[in-house]
Amino acid sequence: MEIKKQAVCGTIQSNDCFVRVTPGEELMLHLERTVLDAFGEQIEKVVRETLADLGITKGQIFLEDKGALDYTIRARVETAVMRANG
Amino acid sequence: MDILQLREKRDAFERSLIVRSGRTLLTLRGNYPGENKDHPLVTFVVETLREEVRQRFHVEEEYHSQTKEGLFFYFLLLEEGEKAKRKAVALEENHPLGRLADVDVRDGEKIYSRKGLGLPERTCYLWLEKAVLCVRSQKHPLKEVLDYFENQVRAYRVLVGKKEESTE
Repeated sequence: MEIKKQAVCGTIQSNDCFVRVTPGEELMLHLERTVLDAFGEQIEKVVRETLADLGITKGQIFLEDKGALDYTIRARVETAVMRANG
Repeated sequence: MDILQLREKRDAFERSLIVRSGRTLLTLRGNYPGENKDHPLVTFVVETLREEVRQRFHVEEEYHSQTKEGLFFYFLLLEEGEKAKRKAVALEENHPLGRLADVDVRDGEKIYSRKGLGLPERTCYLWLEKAVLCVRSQKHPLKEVLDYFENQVRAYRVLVGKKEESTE
């Protein structure tokens, strides 16, 4: 899969996250952890794993976390990428 | 539709209400864990607090939805955002069922937070920790959290002298 255009997924409601992906020449993550700094590494790990599973090697990923669980982060990133691929 | 899709759709609905009206939006919902939040206990809590909102706020318009996210009420208010948020926090803190609900406030600018107003964050149902930390680390078994919710509703019904009703 490929990030061909800008796309978003998610919300900034509690226990959720908002993801925006845009095309780019290299893979760059921008994580804004407004709720839980303690989980920053875990969030980054989940985002990187999700992107790897989708075969994404380039593009910019912006994520604003509001206390989302791992499965939510995974689902939001997946859907954002799918929307950007279409 | 799963709960994440429902939340995204609801968020868009909330924003459309604000854009159309230019008002502050108050959203009332149960604070109930799990994938299916459409439960009679949640309905009871939310309907009870709906009356409180109608009494405490200047409500201009009211909407509702009922999905797997549970029962929601949406109120467009005459109050400005920060004032509405302070009143919402007071409702969450002072009403016997307030802890079991989320009374959220947003306007065209932002979603208001306790932290943003210098107010203490909510603590967990079961622990003296910030609620968001327990949720994120999934500290407590689901059943313990569900039992807490049910016990609080039962205690409230005794308090107000309502006959114990089956909630199953």
